[in-house]
Amino acid sequence: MLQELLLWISQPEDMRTLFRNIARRLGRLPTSGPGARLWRGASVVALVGALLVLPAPAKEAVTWIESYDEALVEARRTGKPIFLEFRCAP
Amino acid sequence: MLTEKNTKRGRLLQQYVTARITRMDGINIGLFDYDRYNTLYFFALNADEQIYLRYGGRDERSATSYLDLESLELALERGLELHRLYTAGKLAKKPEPEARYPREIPALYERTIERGRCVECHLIGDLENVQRERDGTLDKIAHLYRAPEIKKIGIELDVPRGLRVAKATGSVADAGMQAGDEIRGVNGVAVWTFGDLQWEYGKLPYTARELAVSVGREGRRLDLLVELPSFWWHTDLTYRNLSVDPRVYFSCEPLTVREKMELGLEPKGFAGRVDSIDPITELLSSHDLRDGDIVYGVDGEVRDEIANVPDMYIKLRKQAGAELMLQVLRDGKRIELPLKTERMSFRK
Repeated sequence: MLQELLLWISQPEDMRTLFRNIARRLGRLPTSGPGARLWRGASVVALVGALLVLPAPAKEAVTWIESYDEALVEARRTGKPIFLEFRCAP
Repeated sequence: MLTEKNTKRGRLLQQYVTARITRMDGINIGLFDYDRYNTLYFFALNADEQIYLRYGGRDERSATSYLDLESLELALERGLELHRLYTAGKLAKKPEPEARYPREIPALYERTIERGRCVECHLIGDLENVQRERDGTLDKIAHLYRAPEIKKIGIELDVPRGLRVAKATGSVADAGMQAGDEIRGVNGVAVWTFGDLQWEYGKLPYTARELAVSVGREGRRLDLLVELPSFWWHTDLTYRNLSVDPRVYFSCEPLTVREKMELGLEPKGFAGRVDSIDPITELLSSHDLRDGDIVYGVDGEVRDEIANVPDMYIKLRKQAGAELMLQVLRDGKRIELPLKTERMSFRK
């Protein structure tokens, strides 16, 4: 179980998935007795560790094509409109 | 500036194919025609090269007076709405403008493409006019004064809200425009952004005396006819550093007809009183005018069908770099003073 938890922590798609998975797993854990305290403690340690160790999720930026002809091809392929920017310097 | 995908603007942009052009070499400048002295200029269009709207435009004070992120988001939303209409066959196709490319302008070709240099937007604007000057086809009013100021006719926009009028005064107020109106059309053409509005307004010939503006107010559409003031097309060209714009380094306020008559000057002439002299004048030895001098003639000409002051006359009628003789009234005496105009040059 602990291994699984650590696996989730080490391969999260994003922080939201991580917390959702942990919450789901915690729901199946014993709710009373020494086992429960152990799991709760382990989860808290793991969560704090994850927050300290994991890099912040990368902020993905909108990408811009630098060729008008390529933009036309892409617009034909996808059916999307084009938003074209002219600027003096890159 | 980077736009994160997970923001309102990012989500809107992801519904487009986004493209950024920094070299104009292979661009159809006939299709993408705009005032080249904008730092940023955007078009929303489709794969059939039908332009839905423009986002950009500026005033003489700043390149960013009409640019802001909220109005950009509005423009992106409107572009998507127009695309939906187009794909549903509910938006009529516009005629295709004649294709033109930078390489077809000899002055531009010589100074950029042939030398392997970047064809920047402002160079197209400048060297296109240099070529017109060479060819004798330069019409300074039509070709240089391309971006009329809406504030001159009394429109102040609530910029983050696109074409929402924040304040209406002067000519537009006389025509019935009110704060809160949403500008929808100019001269019968639908406008969605300030870029569209300035572009359509700039197409008006300088001889025009009226401007048709449609506005939306409380769910109704109103058609207004705005009476244009004199010199509505005139703007300060200084920031453009145009090669064909003579720098004179002084400015005048026009004399009234009565003042001209009292001074024995041509009543319909362009005589003006010097009210500002650029400090650079001394360094360039361009002229010896003083504040309060009355300039009533340039190379013997005292009137013009358009210009109402001598500095405007020179800018409209003389070539940059020309050496001229000014007829001046100083302390009641008529004298002549030479003027050396300057030709500006972009980094070419």
